[in-house]
Amino acid sequence: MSDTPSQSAHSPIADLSYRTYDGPLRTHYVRWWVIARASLRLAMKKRGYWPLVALASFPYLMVGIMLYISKRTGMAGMLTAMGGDLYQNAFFAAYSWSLFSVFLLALLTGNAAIAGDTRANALQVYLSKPITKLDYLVGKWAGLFITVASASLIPATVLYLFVLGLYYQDGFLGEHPALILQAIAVSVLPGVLHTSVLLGFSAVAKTPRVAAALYAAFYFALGPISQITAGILGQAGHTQQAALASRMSMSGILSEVAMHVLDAKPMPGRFGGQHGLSQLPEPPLLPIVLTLAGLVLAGLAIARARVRAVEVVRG
Amino acid sequence: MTVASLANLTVRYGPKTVIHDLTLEVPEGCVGLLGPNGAGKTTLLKTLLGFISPASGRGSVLGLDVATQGIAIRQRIGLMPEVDCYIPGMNAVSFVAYAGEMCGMPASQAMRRAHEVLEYCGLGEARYREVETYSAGMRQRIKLAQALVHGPSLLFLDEPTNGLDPEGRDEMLALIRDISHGKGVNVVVSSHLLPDVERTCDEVIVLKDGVMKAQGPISTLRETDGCQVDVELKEPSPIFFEAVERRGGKVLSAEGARCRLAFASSDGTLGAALFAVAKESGAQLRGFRLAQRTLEDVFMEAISE
Repeated sequence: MSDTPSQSAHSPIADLSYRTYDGPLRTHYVRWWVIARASLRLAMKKRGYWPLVALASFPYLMVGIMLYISKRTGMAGMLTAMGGDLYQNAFFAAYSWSLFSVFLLALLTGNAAIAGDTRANALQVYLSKPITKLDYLVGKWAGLFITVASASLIPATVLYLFVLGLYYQDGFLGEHPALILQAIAVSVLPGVLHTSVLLGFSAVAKTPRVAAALYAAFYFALGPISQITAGILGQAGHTQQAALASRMSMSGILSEVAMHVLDAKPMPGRFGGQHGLSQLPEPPLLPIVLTLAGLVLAGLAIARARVRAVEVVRG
Repeated sequence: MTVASLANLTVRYGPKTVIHDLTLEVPEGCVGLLGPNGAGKTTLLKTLLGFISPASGRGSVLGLDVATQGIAIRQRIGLMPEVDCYIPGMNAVSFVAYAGEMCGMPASQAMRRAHEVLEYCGLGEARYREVETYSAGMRQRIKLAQALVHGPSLLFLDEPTNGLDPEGRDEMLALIRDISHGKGVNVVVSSHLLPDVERTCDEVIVLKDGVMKAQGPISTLRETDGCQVDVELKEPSPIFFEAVERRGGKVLSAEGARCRLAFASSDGTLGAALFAVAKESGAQLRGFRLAQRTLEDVFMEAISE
């Protein structure tokens, strides 16, 4: 055997010493998209992601089956119990049934969005790269938004295509030309709200668990508070205010806005039917939309204020 | 050629001035940034990264203005932060590739380079493990890997040997030494550990309370005033010291058979003079060499001014 080193020892492949990178380094690229893509990949790796996506899609499947049965039997059943259009009500029903699953999905995938980075000091990695605070926040927001919104947007689109196929001969497209746009607008709504508010909570909390606990507490506390407030206002005779207060929970806001966008009639039992509040008049939409916008902006503002490249020392 | 320069730079956090009217030039090569706690080392690094806008003065890194070109600067430099940092849920190779993509590398190039850099940093075997499961030493290495992935021209290393055992420390210092010598990467090492700086750096900058106290090549800073010489005798000899003083020399310190002597000047006959003194006093001279201060002496002198 020869004593001389083998050819591979002289080959660049065998060279494990430091070599300067001389490949391309883009100066113009969508920086936030790099972060959004990574957030999306990490979310999809989480253990509960796919079960929750399936859970959020299940109502759309159920509504699809109901529509199929309705087509075969000629009876709309509970979907039009309160009047209104069958398809719009069907989309609204699927949407409102999936709201809680979407919330759980947001909680699972979004709690660590910023809190996880804070706990692991990852902000120092992000902000030492050619990335601004805005790129970071937009990337985190977009990653979480796509994760959450797709859980209702994709099944809603599939349901629409199913309905289109089922009722095309009945002039469905001509009668409901904007339904696809309405369904898309409604489907992304929970994504916008949950992502923005959760990002704020995640920026405040030091760990993902605390962020999840804070957001869950906020979500669940708003429901009873809004109902109790509505009850008190209703008893005092302020019916308009009571109606408004009864919608001031996360799911209430999302349902109310969606109902208006879809022009649907809710099924019996919604909005405090058990508490005698179902007789309340329809509340004005504007304050609800403003509350939604306020929550979104507040979440984003908190996240923006909390993310810092430098810890300021007060001397 | 300088990699960074500051001119009358002042940095404030609210009412607190952290860096006062600092003017300095960071040369190419490996430079140590020394200073006690609160000296302004980390603030200086953050200013050079473009995180903090100076209250007054100007600064540039690789010819780019720190106040207005922070993003361009961060694309050409690498930072190894002092604290543990990683992206939760990612394995080492994904983390390093992600760091590369954030710097503008195409995804495929970033992944290829991540493998290469991890191998170089000694994490080749553990590249598919989640970073959260890494030991302290491995986390230091991955911080170096993510800073190196995009091939920066300048590396800022903040306390690179934090939390490392002696073996890990030796390996990390060897890596830093290797990167900063002959690989085209300039390195600024911020550290409290003077031996680490001494082993890796060619130059040092000493800061105290945001003011520069000393700067220059370590070899120059360690030089002593006048002509000082460390002498080793066979055994302690007061007669030898008396003979030194008779010839105009001065005994600066004596500990057992070792002593440090100072002569007014050296005209190239220092050796002959020492032999003459030894002969006169009957002391046996075991050895002598020109005295040098330690980096600790330089540092202590600089911060006590």
